[in-house]
Amino acid sequence: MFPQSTLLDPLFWMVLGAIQVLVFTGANQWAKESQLGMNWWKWSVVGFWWLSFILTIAGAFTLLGENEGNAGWYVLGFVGTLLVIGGAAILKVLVLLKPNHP
Amino acid sequence: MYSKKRIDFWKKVASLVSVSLLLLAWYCGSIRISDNQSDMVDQLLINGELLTQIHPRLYQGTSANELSPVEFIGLGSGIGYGGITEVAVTVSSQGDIQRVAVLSSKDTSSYLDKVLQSNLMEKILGENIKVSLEIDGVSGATVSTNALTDAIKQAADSVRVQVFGFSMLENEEPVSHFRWLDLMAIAMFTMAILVNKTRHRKKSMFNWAILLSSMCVFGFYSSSLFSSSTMGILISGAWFSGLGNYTSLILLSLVILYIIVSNRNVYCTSLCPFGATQECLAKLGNAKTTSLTNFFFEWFPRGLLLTTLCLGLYFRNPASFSYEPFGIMFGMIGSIYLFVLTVLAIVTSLVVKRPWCRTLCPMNPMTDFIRFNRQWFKSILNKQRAKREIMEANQMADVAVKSNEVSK
Repeated sequence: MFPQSTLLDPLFWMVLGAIQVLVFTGANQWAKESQLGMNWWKWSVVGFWWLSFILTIAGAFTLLGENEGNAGWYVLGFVGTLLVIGGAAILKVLVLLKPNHP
Repeated sequence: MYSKKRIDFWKKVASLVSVSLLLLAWYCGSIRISDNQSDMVDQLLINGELLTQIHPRLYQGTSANELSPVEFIGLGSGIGYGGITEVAVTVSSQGDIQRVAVLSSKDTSSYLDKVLQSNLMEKILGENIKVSLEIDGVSGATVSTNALTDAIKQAADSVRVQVFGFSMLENEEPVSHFRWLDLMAIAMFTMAILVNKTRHRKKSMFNWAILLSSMCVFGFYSSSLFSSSTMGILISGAWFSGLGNYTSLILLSLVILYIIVSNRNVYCTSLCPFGATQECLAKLGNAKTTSLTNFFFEWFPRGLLLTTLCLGLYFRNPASFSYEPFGIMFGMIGSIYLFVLTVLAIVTSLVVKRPWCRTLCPMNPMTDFIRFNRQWFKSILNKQRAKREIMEANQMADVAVKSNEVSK
């Protein structure tokens, strides 16, 4: 991510790792509070989406770190945007399939 | 804060200044390009050669020491997305192609760059023009490739006809430029008018059907929605000499005509492919409607469109100055800055309804300009009519008074 820096690179990956811990510990609580009625396939879809999202960020920022600026931004912009739209679609499905949805 | 009369006055001034600036840009542009072509042809010569024009489309390069021609420079043109693409081809006295140069192009630079990066021009160097030239196409930039290919073939034919005495160029019918998409544009515009006029209970559903069809046909399939570059092409008159794709121009002309006739804009609500994309995303993310009535959001897009059009007219290439995310959205063609803008517009559409339409879209300034001038023209006509009626009434009254006096 930061080709000319020795400090910012490890900081970036540490922050990304910390976010993983927060998401993994908080996801179940968030699903319970939102009363989404999660089951195995819903968790699989959400997990797959999160994995894709994280891999996109990691991949794009690795490209940026390798001085492939345009490629990095294009991956982040193109795949990232598709994943954000996909995420909104998944959230909509989860809300529609709530056990007590009117 | 200000009275309506005062605002109207300044809007009239702005309208007149805009038209004057556009005319000035067009005039300055015509001065700029008048000597451009011959200068560029001069640069194609090898040092020490003398250039003589022997035909409107053909130059002859003669060595300073000898009288026999060393090489010929043929000029040719092809019809691209934004108008004519002009090319100069240098051919040896034996008929071998030595150099090829693009003199001018009105295509979007990203498309032209894609064609040039494919080494299309380098591949034909050394080929002999006495036999038919075989030039490969470039996928994703078909119109620009065809324009360049046609221009090269025409330039080679200029030399072929004048020097070798035969032609290998087939005449193309002008009607072949019109395609089924043009008819589709007219049909869908008519449907949009009908849907907007109807009071059917399923009006909204019909509107969605047209919007989604338009998104597929004019967006993802053909990427032929109009933009500020189409507006530039329309006012510059580049379409008069031919265009590779008339669909966007037809759509724009229909929209302008309908606004002039009925004061309504059906394009944004029922046809715009990017509007349809934003609507779909808004449905997905339960986006909220926000109104931006700020002075900045009203006048910044107007200034931006005017600047874009003026630059397009001055450089005679409106396609190079478009700033919309349409090319990236529907064709993945455009600069990194437009890519960032497209991503921003798409992601924001999930939370705000039609963010592009409410901020930078050139359609709003254009509609406002036409509506304002239409209203202005109408008020002038009404004032003149009222004046005429008063004069007629006065004349009638005078006649009545005179006839009364006569009868007395």
